[in-house]
Amino acid sequence: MPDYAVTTVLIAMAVVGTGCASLEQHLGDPLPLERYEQLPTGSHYGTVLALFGPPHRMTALPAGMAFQYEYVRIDERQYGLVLPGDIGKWIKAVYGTAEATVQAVVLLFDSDGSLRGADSEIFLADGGGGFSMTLIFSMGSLTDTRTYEESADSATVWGRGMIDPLTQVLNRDSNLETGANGLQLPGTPVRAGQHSLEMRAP
Amino acid sequence: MMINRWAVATMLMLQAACVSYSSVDGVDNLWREIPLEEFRRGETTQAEVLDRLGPPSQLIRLHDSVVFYYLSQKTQGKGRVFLVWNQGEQRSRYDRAVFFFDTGGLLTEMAYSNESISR
Repeated sequence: MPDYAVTTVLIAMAVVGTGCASLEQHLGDPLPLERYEQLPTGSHYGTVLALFGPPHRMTALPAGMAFQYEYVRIDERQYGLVLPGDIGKWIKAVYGTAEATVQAVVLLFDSDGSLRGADSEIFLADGGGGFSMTLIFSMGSLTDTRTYEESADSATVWGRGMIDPLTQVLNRDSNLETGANGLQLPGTPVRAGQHSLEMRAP
Repeated sequence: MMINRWAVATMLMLQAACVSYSSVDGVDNLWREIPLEEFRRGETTQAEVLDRLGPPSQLIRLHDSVVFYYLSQKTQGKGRVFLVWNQGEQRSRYDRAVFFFDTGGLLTEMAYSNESISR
């Protein structure tokens, strides 16, 4: 390859490519969705537990209960550009976007613990985007994917609810994390439905 | 010189930093040391489960009965920081155990997750 071609490639890599990144996040293990769908109606919840283990979420219902199993994968892509100038060469401008892949299974049981119905779903969700100016030797997420990340570990942070904003505390009797009032899928918007009374920022 | 330019190109690709981190949240997953068969339906009491596993992550009310839900979360991440390309990967695993009790406080069902964290 001629010298000028190598030089061109180097310059192009340094200017255009610098700061690009791929960030991948897995929350849990992927679900064996086909096995859930093979469960016959009427199966006892003990059979479900033996096959699939404890659900990620569960709740009491007026005449029974529900289990929810879930898996989330978040893929973030970042595209960077080195800025011109003496200082600029140590700073990169980065734009990032994220996409979440959610697998979820909901199983409904009657008051005797027999399966009334089950369904699985895979859906893609836009995790938003973000822009950052940062040092060239750095890497971090630029998108806000909290609604997906908070879902599975809610059991470990329940005490944090004591210092929630007042509107969320007042709505605690309808909280969907406690297992007494219902379930919700990861990434569910908070501006409508049960959480709308909490007046959270979108 | 040609060789020097390729050397610079190689350095640009290889000049990198690697990161690795991990964290554990939730309760200690003591259940991994106890075979599930040691908990017996209709015999094991809430007190015995508490004694062997400690306080659960969640106490869930299911009408008149109660569920002990234990959860331990381990997050591991690694990253490679190059000049022209960065790559990061993070995995969280959720080790879970659940125990259902009847109104008399006796065990009715129990399970460990297939997903586990080594102790």
